[in-house]
Amino acid sequence: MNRARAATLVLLDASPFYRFCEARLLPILAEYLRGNARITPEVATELRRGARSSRHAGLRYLELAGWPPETSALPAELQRPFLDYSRAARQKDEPTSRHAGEIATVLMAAHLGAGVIVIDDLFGKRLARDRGVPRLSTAQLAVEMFTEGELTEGDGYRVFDLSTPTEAGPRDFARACERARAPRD
Amino acid sequence: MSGAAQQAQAARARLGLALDGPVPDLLRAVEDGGELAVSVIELPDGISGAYARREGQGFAFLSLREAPVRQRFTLAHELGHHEFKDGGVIDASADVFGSPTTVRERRANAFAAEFLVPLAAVQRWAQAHADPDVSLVTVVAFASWFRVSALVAAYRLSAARLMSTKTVRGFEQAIQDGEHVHLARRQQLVDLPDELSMIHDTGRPRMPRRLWADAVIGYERGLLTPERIAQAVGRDTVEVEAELDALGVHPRADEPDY
Repeated sequence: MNRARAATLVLLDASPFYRFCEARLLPILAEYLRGNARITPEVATELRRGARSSRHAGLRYLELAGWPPETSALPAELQRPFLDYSRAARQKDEPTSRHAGEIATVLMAAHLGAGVIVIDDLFGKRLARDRGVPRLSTAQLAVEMFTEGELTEGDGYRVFDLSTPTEAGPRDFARACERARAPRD
Repeated sequence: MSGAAQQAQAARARLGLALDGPVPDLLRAVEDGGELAVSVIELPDGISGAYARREGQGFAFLSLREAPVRQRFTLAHELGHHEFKDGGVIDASADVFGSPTTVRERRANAFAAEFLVPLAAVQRWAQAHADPDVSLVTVVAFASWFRVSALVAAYRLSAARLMSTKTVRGFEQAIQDGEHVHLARRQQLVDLPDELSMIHDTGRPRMPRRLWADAVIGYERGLLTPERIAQAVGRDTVEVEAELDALGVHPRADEPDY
């Protein structure tokens, strides 16, 4: 499994910030990834917009902490693929910016040679696979943080629960933790 | 010989088409040669085709409603626009099949005529048919051989001096009255199928081959849904799903998130 801690550069989509915000654990996420994390300007815009809602007002923490730093804008040669993927991802009646964050994250991660990205969106997940970019879900990141001792079991499960479908429960969390602890090749 | 005719001969040579015979499958020749990406779609009444160029790639649009003989001439006409690096244009039927008012449209028509029915090929056909009689039956047989309309056939026979202008004028009315269709049936002249005739038989819109190939790859990689593909090509989602299924193409399974 990919590990965020082992990566020198981790690009995150907006979803992990939302889930950690809902669990009130953003400062711990910032502490865990501090020097390695980056977000694209597209994700930064989405997070600033999200911070205006009462449910995710906690995202203002990011602005106060000045974390994570933004990458530069997508280089000119990636503008065309960005538009092509945006068109491919957009379903009827969806706004043009619907998948901007995840597409920019994957393209920029491939461009910068990032060790891993954290992304939950299905299109972003498939795009990462297509572009050969190692990926973690927010649930997997929460499991990693718990097994690394950076989150308590309760906090780890809270983020896991917020990031997974309703059918996933404590037993799935325990199994994921076992897999994360298993010796790697 | 006009500049348009010379350009048409050069285009045929580039696409690997000899000058002494008909084009076996115009759509395939044009797309395989990378000249144009061709869509066959619903266009408004009175519009036979359109041409656009973007980032060096030419795009041709043909009316799904028109008969393949007309679609072939329109496609050759759009190829003419591409060859002469004309800007984007929407071609009214009157410009392609009537009396075009601009030099650009006349040039595209001259190109199309020589591209589909080179005068060298007309001479060869005439030699093979030792002194063909000057009749509508000849026109119909000639049209069937070259996969063009009876009117285009008559004009090319006239251009090759195998028929007088006066004779052609006489045939125009008969052709407008549909007499040539009746004659073709009597002669059992069946059009050989090509991609345009097959599209016409299905009655379904067609997107450029490369676009479809890319869509299949996108679907396989999970980046395009059948709904999105159907939306892009103006087709029914169920039809697109059935076609992908028939190809044995399925999206790859997603890795688990936990």
